[in-house]
Amino acid sequence: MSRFFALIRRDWMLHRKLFFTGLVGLFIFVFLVSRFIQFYLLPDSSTEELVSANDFTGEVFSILMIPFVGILFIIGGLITSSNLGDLRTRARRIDYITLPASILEKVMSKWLYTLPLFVVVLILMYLFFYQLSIAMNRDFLTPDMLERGYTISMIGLKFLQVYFVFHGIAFFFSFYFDRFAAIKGGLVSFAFFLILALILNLTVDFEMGDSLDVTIFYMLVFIQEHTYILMAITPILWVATYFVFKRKSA
Amino acid sequence: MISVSKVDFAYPKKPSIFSQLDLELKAGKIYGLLGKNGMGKSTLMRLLAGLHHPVSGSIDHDDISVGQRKVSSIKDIFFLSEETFVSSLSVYQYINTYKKLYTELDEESFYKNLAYLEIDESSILTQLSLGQKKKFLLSFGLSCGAKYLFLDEPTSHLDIPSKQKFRKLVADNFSPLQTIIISTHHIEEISSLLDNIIILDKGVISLDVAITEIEKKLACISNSNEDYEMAIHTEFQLGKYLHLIENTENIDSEIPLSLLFNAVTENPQVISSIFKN
Repeated sequence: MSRFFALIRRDWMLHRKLFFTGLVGLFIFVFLVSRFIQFYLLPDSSTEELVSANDFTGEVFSILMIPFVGILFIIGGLITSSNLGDLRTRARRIDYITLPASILEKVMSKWLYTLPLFVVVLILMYLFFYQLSIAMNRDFLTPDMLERGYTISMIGLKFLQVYFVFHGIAFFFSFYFDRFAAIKGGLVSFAFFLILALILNLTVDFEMGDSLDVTIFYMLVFIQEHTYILMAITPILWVATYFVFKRKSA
Repeated sequence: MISVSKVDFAYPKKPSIFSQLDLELKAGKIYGLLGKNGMGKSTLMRLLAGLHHPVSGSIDHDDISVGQRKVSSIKDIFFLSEETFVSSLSVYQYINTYKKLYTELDEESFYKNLAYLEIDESSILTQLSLGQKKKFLLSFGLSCGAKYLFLDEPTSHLDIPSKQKFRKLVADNFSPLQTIIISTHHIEEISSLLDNIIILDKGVISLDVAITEIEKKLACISNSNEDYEMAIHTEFQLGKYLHLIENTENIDSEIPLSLLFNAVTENPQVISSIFKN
């Protein structure tokens, strides 16, 4: 265990400046984006009178969710794909692979940073902005609006489930590809999705027609309704990641 | 001891580099690994360190397959690659972070080595020059308790005084339990350190002998004549001809390793037959 914590400490020491600046950057980004959308993009929301009149302030929670979902998938995907940079160049790879720790400890330490820690930090950030939004719009918010905010937050949980699967794929490719893992992994995943869609398109009769976009629509609906099935597959990706790194380490 | 047995290796979709390679590297010895560019020196170093996996055959460190990547084996390995990587930490932070992983690290020895190589303890590693980074990593490698040190071109980017210090540092820190393998093109810079030399040519080990053995079996004659009847190999160096000959008359001479290297790459069979006798 001490080796595992030593790896965690190493990653923290090596990347803490990036973590801090990233966190501050995200705070500023979320604040600016939510303010920008609320005051400039949504009609009539800049007038307090109208806002209070048409319960538009309730949209504040939908607005808040947008940057968080974006950060979850874009920043989370990039962080996971980069593997905190440890496999990027040959010299870095040698430094990391020759660290006296087991393959499992190394994979686990990266997993911990890119999934649980990242998601927890993001949830805490969301809760902070959620409370901030309530505090800033206290005069206009009705119990109905607050309930709506809660409902939207629960929808966020659905995104987290999808991210869980998304992370598993990005994590696997981050070890599989040495360089440009985000791009290569994205292309491979897209190609896989498209091939699967083509196969389904040729073999399954869908109610709404037989064009490829209908198949893709059904696939997306299936993913949305059966995320838990994909979540169950994700641990297989983690195990595969372990073996990919084991092969790479020797 | 590192044992290499019948190793075949090729990079994916590339021609074979090693075929049925056998090699034995003993504890308490410093090996110089020589070879022309592209002959497989760095690949062999990576294979020996377990950074590449052979297609077939085995590479063992003290009878444990290096491919198993056991933590106990990994902590015995230090690999100084030609392209260095250091993290954006200060020397103190680096040591405090890495000593939890390298549990055998001798901090006192590390700071002593660092001072000897004139690296400031408060330096930020990424702000050091390439040569200084190498010196830092070398200080770390010699103090981290690794049994097997693989040094790929360790003297490149070092200034002249540092090259001298490198030799002294390795000699002072070397323990009989360790094995050091140094791959280099600058053989004369480290020749005084070496116990054995291994010459690699087109994926084949053309020569693997002790330095003492070289001086017993071969001799170097210098004169102003280009032709020397018994010469295995002749070179013109610094205004005179150097002739490498078989030492049948117990001549006491110093053989420049560059002369030997060129002779081996030119006439591998002749040299090899001399050492077999």
